[in-house]
Amino acid sequence: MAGEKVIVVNLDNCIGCRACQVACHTWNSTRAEETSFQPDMSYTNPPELTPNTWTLIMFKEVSEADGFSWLMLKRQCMHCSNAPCAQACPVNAIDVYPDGPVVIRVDKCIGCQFCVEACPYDVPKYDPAANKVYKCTFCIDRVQNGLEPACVSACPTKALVYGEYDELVSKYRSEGYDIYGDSVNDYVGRTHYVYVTKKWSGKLTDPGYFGEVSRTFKGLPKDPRKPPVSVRKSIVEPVGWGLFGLTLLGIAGHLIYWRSRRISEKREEGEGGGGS
Amino acid sequence: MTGERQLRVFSELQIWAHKHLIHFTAAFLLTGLILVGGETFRVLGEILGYPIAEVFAPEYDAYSAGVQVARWIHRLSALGLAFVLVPFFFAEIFRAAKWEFWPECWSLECFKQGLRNMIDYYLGRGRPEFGKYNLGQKCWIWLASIGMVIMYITGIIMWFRDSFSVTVWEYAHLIHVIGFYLSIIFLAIHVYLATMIPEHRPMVTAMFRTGTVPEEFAKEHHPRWYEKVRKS
Repeated sequence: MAGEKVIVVNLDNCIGCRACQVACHTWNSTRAEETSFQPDMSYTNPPELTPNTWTLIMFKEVSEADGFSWLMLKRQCMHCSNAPCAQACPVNAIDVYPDGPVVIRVDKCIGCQFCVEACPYDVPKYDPAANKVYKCTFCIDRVQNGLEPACVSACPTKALVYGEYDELVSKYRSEGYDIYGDSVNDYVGRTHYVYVTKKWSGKLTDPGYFGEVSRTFKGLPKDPRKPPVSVRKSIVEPVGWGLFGLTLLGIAGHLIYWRSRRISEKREEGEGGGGS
Repeated sequence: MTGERQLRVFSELQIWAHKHLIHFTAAFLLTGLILVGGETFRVLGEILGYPIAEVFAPEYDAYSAGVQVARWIHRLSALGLAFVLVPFFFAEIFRAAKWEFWPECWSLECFKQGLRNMIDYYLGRGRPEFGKYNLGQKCWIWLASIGMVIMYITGIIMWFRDSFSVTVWEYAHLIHVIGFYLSIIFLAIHVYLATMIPEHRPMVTAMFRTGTVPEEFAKEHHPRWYEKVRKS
């Protein structure tokens, strides 16, 4: 779609400086997290996205033939075009903008966490104190005013690039980059954060590389999906209402049948009575 | 029917439990509709939420406030219903041997016979050949009872979702929603067959007021049960 925006994460350029993480906190006035020692989580800190940390660099060491390599995977909301979180929200608190951003409206959010259930990327985080769910907003307040998202403008190595969707994706594709996000599956559609790499070409959805980057985040899934949620939305709800409608029709049919039977019985009784 | 001999079909406790079950079910359904109905039932959420958002929480969107209140009414109804169901369960379980909704036999032939009897009964063909409950009524009692237990388990998981993993509440939510659709489907059938067919009305009077049905009605509609009661 014309006007659709994208943030490209060029994994080959990321140096793991976490300027994006800090810029996100600064722009959105979210509290900094206390750091903790996570030996199994490498340098990732905090170890997971939280209601206050909407973007996070996940560090992972991988062993390759020529030694060890660092993988730095920036994590945040993927801003899906078919946003399952927005479809799951019972109060329409999640707006999906035509140019890409998927934004939780804090004044509407009731903290039910149906979006947490629906998200296959484990992104929305619930804050029990506020009884609200928070996540990256694509810096909607900046992009609607002609600025780049805060993380993009803070990135010193152009690992984050913001621009027109189709234009940027085709540029990276023509340069031979492997791309994750421009066409994922029917559950999420395409994502407005896309990952590109040449260095790890073919490994973006390989669990040995970008998979299992944290205790709960299973990496970039080839087929991100929440089966119970998609079954509920696409099968149970339409079939349920359909069967309920058929039941009402059946009831109406039985009512007509029963009444007509009674009328004819009464008529027969009347005729019988008249004859005797 | 004055002066005609009456037979007791429902105890005072059963009448009391059924009456409150209706109140709470109405609350469950209305608030449940707000939660699953989306835009179609938005007006219900708005009605519930508008005064609350207006008076207590001006920073809240009216529809959001309505859905939030609906969630709480839903949970409080579950709590209220528990106060009815728990004593009812303990009163009934000790007379389980006397329950009239146990299957009478287990063969496929017997099931087919029961099904035929039930269909004939609801189509007004021939004399019913069953006891206090026909096959459909027995299935309904079992389905409603087991269904309620499942709705409680899955509902409690969703209420205290932070104590469970996301996968557990995803499946609890799915099962709860399936339960919702089964409830509205079978409730519609139950309410229709019980209240809209004039011939069945004595049972409604028994369930809501007297607890008894005229002997003639029992003989006509529940002949095997009538024979059993007459002999005892």
